Amino acid sequence: MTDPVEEYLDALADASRLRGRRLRHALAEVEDHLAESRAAHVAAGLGEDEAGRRAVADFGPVAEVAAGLDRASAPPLDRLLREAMRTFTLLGAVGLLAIGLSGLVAAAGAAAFGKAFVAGDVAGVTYTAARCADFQEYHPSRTCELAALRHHYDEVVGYRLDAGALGLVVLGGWLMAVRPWRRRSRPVPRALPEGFATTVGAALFGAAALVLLPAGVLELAFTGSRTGAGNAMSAGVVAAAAFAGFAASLWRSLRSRPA
Amino acid sequence: MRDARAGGERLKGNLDLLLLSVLAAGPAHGYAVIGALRERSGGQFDLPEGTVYPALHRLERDGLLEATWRRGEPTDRGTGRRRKVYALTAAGRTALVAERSRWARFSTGVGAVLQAVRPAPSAQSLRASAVRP
Repeated sequence: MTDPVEEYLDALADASRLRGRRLRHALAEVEDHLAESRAAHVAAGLGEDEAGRRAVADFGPVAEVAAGLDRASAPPLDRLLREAMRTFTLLGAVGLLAIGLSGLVAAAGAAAFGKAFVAGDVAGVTYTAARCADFQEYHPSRTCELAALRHHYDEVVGYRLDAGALGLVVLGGWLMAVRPWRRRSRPVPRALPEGFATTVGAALFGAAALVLLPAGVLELAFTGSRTGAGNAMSAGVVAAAAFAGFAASLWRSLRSRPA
Repeated sequence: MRDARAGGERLKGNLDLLLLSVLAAGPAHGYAVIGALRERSGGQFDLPEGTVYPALHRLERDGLLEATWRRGEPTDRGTGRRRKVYALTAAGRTALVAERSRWARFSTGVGAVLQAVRPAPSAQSLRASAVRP
C-alpha cells in the first residue's frame, strides 16, 4: 500500500507548474509539514496510515494548494515590467554598439577596397542639379558622383559611429542604474525566465545576419561590381558575430540547467 | 454554512496581518506558524493548512519575510529533515505596523456603526405609534 503522504507529494508535483529548485523547495517544505502533522496525529493515538491520511486532509486539496503555490511564485507585474525594461535597455545598447562596430567594419572595407565598396551607387543612378549642389555644399569635389559618394560614405560610416557612441552612453547609464540593484545583500528572484535576454538577442541578430549577409553577397555576385555591397555585408558580419555570441551564451545556460 | 464561508473569506483577507503578527514574536517554520495562529486565536482561526504556505511565499517574494533553510532538530516528533524558517524583514516590520494601524481604524469604524444600530421595532410598538393623533 502506498503511503498517503508520498501520494500527496507526487500529486502536488504533477499539479504544480513550478519546476526546478522552486518545485524542489516547495515539496520539501510540504513534506516537512506533513511529517510533523502525521507525527502529531500519531502522538494523539492514530495509526501511521490513518495519521498520514489525516495530515493530508488537514493540508487541503492538491489542486488548491498547487494553484496557490503557483500564484505565489509568479513575479509581481511591476517587477516584471522593471526587469523587462532593464533587459530591453541592455539589448538596445548592444544593438547600438553593434551598429557602431559595423561602421568601423565599413570604414575598414572602404580603406581596403575603396569608398565605393560601402557607399557607391548602383550603376545608372543620376542626380538632379539641385541634388548635386546639395552634395557639393558639404563635400566639395571634382564631380557630382564623387560628392555623392562622399555624402553616402558619411551616412554609412558616420551615422553608424554616432549610433555606437550613443550605445556607449546607454550602456554606461544601464551599468550605473543596475549596479546598486545588484549590490543588494538579498538577491531578488528573477522575474523573466532565465535566458530571456540571450534568446531575444540571438533571435534579433540572427534574423539581421540572415537578411544582410546574403543581400551583400548577392549584390556582389550579380551586379559584378563592388558598388555598395559592403554596406550590407559590413552590417551582416557584425550581426553574425553578435548572433554567435548570444547563441553561445544561450547554449551554455541551457547546458548548465538541471535535467 | 454561510457563516463559515464568510468567516473564511474575512480570515483570508487579513491573513497577511495575522502571519506578520505571529512572526513578530520570532522566526518560525510554517507548521509552527499555523500552530501559533490556531493557539493565539483560541481555535477560531483554523484555515486549511496548505493555504498558509502560498501566503508565506508571497510575503517572502514581496520582501516582507526572509527565509532560511535549517536542519530540523531530531526529536520524537521532528525528523531532522531540512526545514524552511521564516523571519520578518525590516520592511515586514514596517508593513506590520501599517497593517495594525489599518485594522485598528477598520475595527473602530465597524464598532461605531454597530453601536449606532438600534434594535428593530416590534409590531405592537408600530401599532401604538400609528394610533396617536
